[in-house]
Amino acid sequence: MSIEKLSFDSATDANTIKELLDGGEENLSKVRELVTKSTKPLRIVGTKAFVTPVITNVLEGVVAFSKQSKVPEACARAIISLLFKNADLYVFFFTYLELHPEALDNANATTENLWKFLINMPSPKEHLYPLLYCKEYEKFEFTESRRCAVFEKVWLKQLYRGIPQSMVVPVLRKLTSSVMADFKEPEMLGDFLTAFIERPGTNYGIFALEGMARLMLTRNFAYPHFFDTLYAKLPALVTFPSFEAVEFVGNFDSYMSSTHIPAYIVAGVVKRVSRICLTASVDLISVLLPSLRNMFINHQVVQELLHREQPASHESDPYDETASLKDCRAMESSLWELSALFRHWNTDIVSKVGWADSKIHPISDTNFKPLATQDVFNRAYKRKTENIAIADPRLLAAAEPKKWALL
Amino acid sequence: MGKNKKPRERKAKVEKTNPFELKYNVQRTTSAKGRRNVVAVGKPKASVAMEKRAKTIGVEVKRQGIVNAIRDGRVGERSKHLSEEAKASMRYVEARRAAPKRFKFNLEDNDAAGDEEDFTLTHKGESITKVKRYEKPEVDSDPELDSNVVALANFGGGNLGFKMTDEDGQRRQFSRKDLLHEVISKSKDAKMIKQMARDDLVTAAETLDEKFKLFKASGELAKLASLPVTKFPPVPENHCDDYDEIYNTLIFDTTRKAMPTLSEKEKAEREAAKLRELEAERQKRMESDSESDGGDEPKSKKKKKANKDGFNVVYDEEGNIKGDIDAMKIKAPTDDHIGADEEVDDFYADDSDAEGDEAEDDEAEDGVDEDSEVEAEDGESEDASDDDEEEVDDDDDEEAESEEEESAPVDAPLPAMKTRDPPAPTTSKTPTKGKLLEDTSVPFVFDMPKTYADFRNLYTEYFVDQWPTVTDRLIKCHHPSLAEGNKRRMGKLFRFGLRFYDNLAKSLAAAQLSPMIEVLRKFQALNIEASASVARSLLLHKRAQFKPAPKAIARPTATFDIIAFFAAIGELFPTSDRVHAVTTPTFVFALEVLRLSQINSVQSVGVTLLMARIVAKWIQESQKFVPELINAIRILLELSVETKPGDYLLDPFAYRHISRKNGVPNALVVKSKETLPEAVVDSAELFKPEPALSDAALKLHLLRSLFGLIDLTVAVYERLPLAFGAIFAPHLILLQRIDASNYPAELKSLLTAVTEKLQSKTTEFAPREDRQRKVIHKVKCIKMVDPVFENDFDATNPLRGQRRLDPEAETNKLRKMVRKEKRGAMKELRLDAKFLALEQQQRDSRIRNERKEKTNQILHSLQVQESDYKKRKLKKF
Repeated sequence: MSIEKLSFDSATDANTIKELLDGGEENLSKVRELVTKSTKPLRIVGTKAFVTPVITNVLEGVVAFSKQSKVPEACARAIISLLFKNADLYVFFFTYLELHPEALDNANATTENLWKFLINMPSPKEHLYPLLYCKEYEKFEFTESRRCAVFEKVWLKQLYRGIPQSMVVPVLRKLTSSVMADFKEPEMLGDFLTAFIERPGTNYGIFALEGMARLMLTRNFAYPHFFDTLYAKLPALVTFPSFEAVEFVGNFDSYMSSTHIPAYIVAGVVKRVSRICLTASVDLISVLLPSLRNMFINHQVVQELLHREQPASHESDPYDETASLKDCRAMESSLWELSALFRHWNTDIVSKVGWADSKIHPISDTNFKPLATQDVFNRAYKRKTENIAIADPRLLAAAEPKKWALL
Repeated sequence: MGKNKKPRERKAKVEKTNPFELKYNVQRTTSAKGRRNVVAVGKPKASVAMEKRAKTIGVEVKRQGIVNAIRDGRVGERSKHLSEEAKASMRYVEARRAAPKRFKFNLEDNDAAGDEEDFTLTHKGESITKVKRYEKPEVDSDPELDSNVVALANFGGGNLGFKMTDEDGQRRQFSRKDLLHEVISKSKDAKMIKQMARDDLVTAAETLDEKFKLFKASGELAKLASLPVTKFPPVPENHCDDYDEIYNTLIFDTTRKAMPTLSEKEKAEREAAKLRELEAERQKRMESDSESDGGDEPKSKKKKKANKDGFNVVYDEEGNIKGDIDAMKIKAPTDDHIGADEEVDDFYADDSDAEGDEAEDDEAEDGVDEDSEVEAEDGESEDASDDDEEEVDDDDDEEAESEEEESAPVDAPLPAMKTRDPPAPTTSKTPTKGKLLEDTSVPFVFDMPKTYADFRNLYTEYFVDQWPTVTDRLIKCHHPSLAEGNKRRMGKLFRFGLRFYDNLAKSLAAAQLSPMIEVLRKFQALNIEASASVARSLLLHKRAQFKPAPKAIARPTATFDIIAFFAAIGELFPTSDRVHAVTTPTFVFALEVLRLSQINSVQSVGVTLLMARIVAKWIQESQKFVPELINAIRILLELSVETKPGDYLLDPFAYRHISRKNGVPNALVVKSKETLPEAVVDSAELFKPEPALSDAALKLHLLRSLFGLIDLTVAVYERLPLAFGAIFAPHLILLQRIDASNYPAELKSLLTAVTEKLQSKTTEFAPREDRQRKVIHKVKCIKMVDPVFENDFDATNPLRGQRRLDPEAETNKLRKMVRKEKRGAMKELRLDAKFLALEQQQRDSRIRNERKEKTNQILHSLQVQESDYKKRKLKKF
């Protein structure tokens, strides 16, 4: 019979550990040595297991260390890889956090340090092994389920406590990409995600849609505003760093690949995406265009936007960008915006938009590898300098001077 | 044998007819039904055609080889149109052509002249022996007959009709023998006279020679030679004027060609035509997608190239990593090998021509340089703004130290930080130093600057307006056509120039940049490829400093040297080309700078605006669509309106390169009344630590510039009417939100003008019709045949009149005729050949028979002789 309950003895010498941690990364191995020397990390009294001061010292030392100032992320990563990547210490750490949720808080940086530790913790489903060995470990096993349970409890508790603004981006990315998959009950995140998505004043919630979609797919979650929110927040995609937006587009393509989406939604999104392309950087356009193409393949209805059998004449573009998805009249419009991309400065983009002018070959494009700016530069740089053209001074004299450096 | 033989009467030979050769005619008679009357017509005889042939080609064949005519083969003689002179010249040409080659150069054999004939007597410049009068007659060993005599003897003997009286006093016919006799005697007489004359000449020449030898031996000749020349009357010299000189030089200078002299108008026209040609070429480059020869090379080819390169030496002799590698270092590891086909030019290498110590010094300097760079790169961290500056300083410090050995004055990009007294670039504009020479003009000869320090010293010594002269003279002294390797040196000068330019930019000497660009342009024209690779290496260097990492959110605001770099590239290389080895990667870098450059003050807003302007000017001609530019303008517009809920600038996660502190989100909002600065503000003002303009004034200036930029983009993107509304509608909304109450009047009018223009264009270009892709259906038509109605259709003969109706009847008819005629002609030709063969056969048989008969006759006479001989032998007397 295994023991469930874990308690902590009070620390005896947390300061030594803290001073060692203050000393920098070289001293981390000394901390590890101190831990590995100990022969009895756990003692069992009846049905209760107690973590001995050897371990409590370390935990409290880390707590004291993070209380005093901002912990750099690299430092947090180093501490984790040396100490908490082991099953026993992993469980001790999370149990300690469960018992003392505000342990890692600090006056200046609030919960920033805590999140740095949490984000960099390995997944509980990884194969982790105990660092130490003692007889008591046989009675108190560090199984995957135990790890998952403490991990989930701590994450949920901390999520609802709040995330500082500087950590929102990494926490959300970690949450949607991997943490949710480790949860036994991810639906517990529903409230958090909904609140995040619908948070006023920011459009970053668009990245939380991935978590919502996961809940909808795996847990039968209902979120009727999914596409409305997507549509409303999509134009903000260009305001975020392009590497984040590019990651989003991969998921976005899978949302739009459902054949059950009404035509008006697809049309609205198609129109939006093509407008985004008018201001997006090369790497973002290079993934948006294939996803746009896939929409046309998956939804035959919206092919009207590219090619109408009976063209109608309008006063102007019937599409209303500011209206909601239902009222935007995207179905009556056409994809005029793409005509600009045919004159895009990058030849790869021009070739990627080529499908818009011909009959779409009905094979969906799953290549969402963005055209990285480095590649764009390399390709441009690769050209030979033989027979290179130079600006002819005679032509320059004929044209008006450009005065490049003048405001 | 007294048989009286009667000649046997021969029966008339009746020719038997060959029944197979007979021809029959079938006569149909109506007398009895079905009865046929076959009548033998007879053996066919030679046709009329054959008779005709006998009269035509038969005659020709008989005359062949028998009848001929004399044709005058002399050159040009048969022509009636040529004059005598023309004929003569043609004959001359023919004779020259026929002449053997060894006479081509008319070389005299000088070896034959012996010791005795040291002197040749001349008369009026010509050898005396060549003058006819003093000709030394050759002894004629083989006297030829006078041509007249020969002619008379051979052909003139026809006229023998007259009588003559011979020695006997008898008149008799003048015979051929007499004639020959006379001819011989006459020719003998003539020869004798000639011989005598020759002998006289020889004796006269010999006596003169003797006399001359005596005269020479007496030494009088030497005296004559020593006489002063002045005594002789001046020889009238063949005066050589300018024309002749030019003529003589041109004869030997085959590279020059005669050109017609041009009037001013013609010159202008030519210039215009040349310009048109250049413009057309530029347009072509703008449209042509010739990326295949650059970027999309087949992989196998690339591989081969890489193999050929073998390995690159990454470390120098001292084991330090070479400088050009660290430029590449920050790049994300990609499969593509950058510039596999060319060496990456080490931009800051001061290599010289491997001449002695200097080269070594340079190498040492390089080593130090690279060390510092490598160190800086190693210590690379996320907030690299300070790092970068340090790196630059390090560079120059090290440089300075190593250059001290060369006792050369040193400039620094940041003159304020230097304690030494170098003629910093900024000082060259005004004559502050006593060293500057007002009175001395620019010298005409310059040494080739071997190192960057030399180059810098050379240019800092002179005023900016003297730079073109200095450059021109420098180029003239070391023009690529003067010596081998000068072209390479020009490339190096371009590198020094670009580095100097870069340093000028770093020290914010904006006024000297455009003169330096003109200098660079001159070096560039002399070695285009080197200049391109130098520019590319500087691009790599600048990009390495800017560090646009793949996951970068923002980079420190671009410095003025980056802006100046874009300006230089834009000036030196065509920005309108669709793909260009220098401008395209530079443009990519410019977009990166535009996208990532941090905005944290009004000045940095100005930098972004400046970058946007550069990008807009870059695509002004090619009119390429640049979404990054549209986005940048939108950001700038958002900065110039008061934020309200829903704006992206209030979203803490959006536009992470824009700081939210210090009122940056409202950086361009004008809150108090200010006057607009009149003058055009130099962009270098943005980068100065203590700006001359106040923030408020700068704001107004930036707004004016922003409205100008929008105007420019509107003009550029007018070519995209379908997307125009979608591109500019958000701009318009933001423009309408701008609170212009505090704007000066000029700015206000500018804003309304831009807004109205955008409004009218948006409505003008609003798409009126749905998109409709052009679908070209290939329609397969069934061939339709129109029925023809015949009024008098004859059922028994349905094909009657078909031929008439056939539209191709005429053609068919003609074709048939041609075929028939062809067949007839072939038959005719065949029969001609047959006839000729027959003729030949007959002629041969006739000759054969004749020969046979003659042989028989001879044999017969021989037999008779033989029998006579035998009879005589046997006869017993």
